[in-house]
Amino acid sequence: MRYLFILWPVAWLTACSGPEAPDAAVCRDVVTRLCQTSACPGVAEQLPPGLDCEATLLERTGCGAEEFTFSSPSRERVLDCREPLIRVGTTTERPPSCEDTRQFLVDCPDVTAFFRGEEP
Amino acid sequence: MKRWVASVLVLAVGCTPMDMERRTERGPVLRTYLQESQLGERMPFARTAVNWPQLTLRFSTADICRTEQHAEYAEDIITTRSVPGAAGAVSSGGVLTAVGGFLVLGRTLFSNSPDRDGIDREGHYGASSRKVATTWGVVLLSVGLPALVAGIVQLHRGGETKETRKADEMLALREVPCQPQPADGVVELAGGNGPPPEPRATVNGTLVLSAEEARSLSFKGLLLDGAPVLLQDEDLSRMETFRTCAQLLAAPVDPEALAREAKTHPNQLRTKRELVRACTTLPGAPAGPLLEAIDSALAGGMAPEASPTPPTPPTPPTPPSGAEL
Repeated sequence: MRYLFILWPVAWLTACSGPEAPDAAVCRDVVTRLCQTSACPGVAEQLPPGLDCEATLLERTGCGAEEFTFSSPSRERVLDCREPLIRVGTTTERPPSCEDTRQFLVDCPDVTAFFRGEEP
Repeated sequence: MKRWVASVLVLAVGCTPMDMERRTERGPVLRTYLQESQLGERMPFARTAVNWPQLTLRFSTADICRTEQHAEYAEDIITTRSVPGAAGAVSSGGVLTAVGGFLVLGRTLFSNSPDRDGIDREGHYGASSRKVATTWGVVLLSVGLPALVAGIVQLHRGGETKETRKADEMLALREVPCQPQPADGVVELAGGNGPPPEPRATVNGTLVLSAEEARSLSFKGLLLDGAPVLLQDEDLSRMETFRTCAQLLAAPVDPEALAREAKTHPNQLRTKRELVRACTTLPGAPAGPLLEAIDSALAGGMAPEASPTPPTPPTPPTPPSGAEL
């Protein structure tokens, strides 16, 4: 119990976060991470990236527009499936591993279909 | 609300154990005084007087008067209280409070735009620099301020207090017989070898023993109506000298025997000479002829040697002393 008293400032610091990111920003974050690992074995087959990966995926999903919002799949579903992709870090400066991206593709076929431009 | 928080802090600090050291320093002597008291227990005493060939014992009962010499002096009781770590708490608490206060008060100096470089798992941007600074400031304040207050209170509680009080010490104690009154009764001469002598009654508080009686009677102490009689050192010594001299001066002086003894047992004769010399302190004791004869025997018998240590009569340890049975 005393340790909780000591650790509460640390817990408060880690809970510190900014405003909610818009759906378009979340979508572009996922696109960036998927394209960072598009050269990984098995990724390009599941997610044909085209010549310009990010431009292709943004065009397919429509999240290049600022007014984009998730409908199907929902925002919550995308955030849940995104978790393996941010295992290394929340900034895009640190790309996910190939294994994390393959887990994303396997565990979330509906979201993968969304980024392939198909109806989930 | 502020008073409540302050009270909680003070109560929390109040539970901190303190090191307390107490020492006593003796101050100057304020006064000395005598305190006299009587024990209220009358005891039999005897004084001795010699008028050769008689030893006179004068019996009396006396109380014991106790005289105490006291010194009254000032005494300082110095109590030193300290809390180990109080200075460290003030130092670290002060630094944390200063940094935390700067971050909170100067939060407007930091950007309020969120960190758009990353999105967390709940879909939020990173916190703005202002929010991070404010959070850190509050955290540092919440840690540093209690430490600072605790340290200040502990330092305030510490320190040295001095309490001065009077103290009393007994420097000397003396007990002497006082308020004597003549006492009559039956005197027993006890403690000797063989059957005890017949008890004798005093007349006007006095018992007289002749040299011949002292020579023939064997006793070590006196009882008056069954109670041990106390004799002071001087009286005890006088009585023992009288008994010794009663033996030494009884026989006629024999120069030839002394001359022989001077040749065969010179040290024994020297010891005897010292005993005879002690007899000269008894008024009327005819010790002169024997002393001269011994001196002549020693002078003619052999070369002079270092005189032996004179024999000392038995001396009880503390006054009032006596031949207590």
